[in-house]
Amino acid sequence: MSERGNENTQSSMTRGERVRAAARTLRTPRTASWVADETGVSVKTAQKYLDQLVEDNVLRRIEQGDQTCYCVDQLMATYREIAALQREHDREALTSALESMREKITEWQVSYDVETPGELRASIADLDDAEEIETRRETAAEWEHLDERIPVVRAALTEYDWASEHDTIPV
Amino acid sequence: MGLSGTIDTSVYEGVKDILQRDPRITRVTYEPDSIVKRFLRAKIDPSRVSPPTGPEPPTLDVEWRFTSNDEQYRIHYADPNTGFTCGWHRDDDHPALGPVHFQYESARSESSDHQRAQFENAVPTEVLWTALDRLFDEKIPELAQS
Repeated sequence: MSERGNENTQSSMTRGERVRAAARTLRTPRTASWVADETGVSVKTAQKYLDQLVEDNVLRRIEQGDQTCYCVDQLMATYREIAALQREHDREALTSALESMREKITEWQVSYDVETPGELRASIADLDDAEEIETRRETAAEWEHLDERIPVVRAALTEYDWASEHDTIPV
Repeated sequence: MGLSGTIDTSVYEGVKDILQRDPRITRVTYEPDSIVKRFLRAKIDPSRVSPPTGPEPPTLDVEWRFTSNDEQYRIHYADPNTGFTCGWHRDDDHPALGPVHFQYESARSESSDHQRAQFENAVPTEVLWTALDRLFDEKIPELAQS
């Protein structure tokens, strides 16, 4: 491992930026000390930036026993994602993306004769052909991802006009 | 083999930040697009790779997936000019090599290999950082011309 190279790249980020980037990936609650260890900063520094991110609604602070932990505020992250979709894409683009995701799922349901990605995964047990097993695994993974994305895109579309009305810059 | 688990697009925001800060990377996009967001693709400046390549920009694909108590990822470099590809994969492909392996393939010499690999950190942003440095400082200079 190249420690030298590592230091070069990492010096391009301030300690705060490094903690902030890592914090956005905290899917399971972690202590400030754990984050400090991972990012090579002091516990005090990690704590300072994690607390700022709680104030900014990026992280949630959770008490676990006698420990204070931090994890991504998933509700706020989803709202931000919806707002980003509304701001970066027009209604037509979101509608056509939603349609194409639904069409893909319908195609998989028909061609594999299953209703869910779980059923598609289960169907692998009866197969011997390695290539077909691989294709079905990849399709199931892609299907699961689309199942996650569809509600977010749909939410962005549902309140699209309302969001556009509120996304104005006063002149 | 494809990765299994859930994609968390908020994690990709942190990962994207790391990619965008690397001086060798010129552009980072979501694939297949910024609505579906399956994985991140970074375009690399061919003149900043050692040894330099070109004319097409090499790519680095980064995909992260989470299962209930584990994660899988793929950090994969591909040079379209030479056919050289390499990367770190955390998946179920080579259990004998442990959870993470490094693999490379060189189209020129038809050589390829899979090796045991390890990252000291668990946070995706730190893993990616280490991977970027190993890739540009060690792996490409050592293997791309083999």
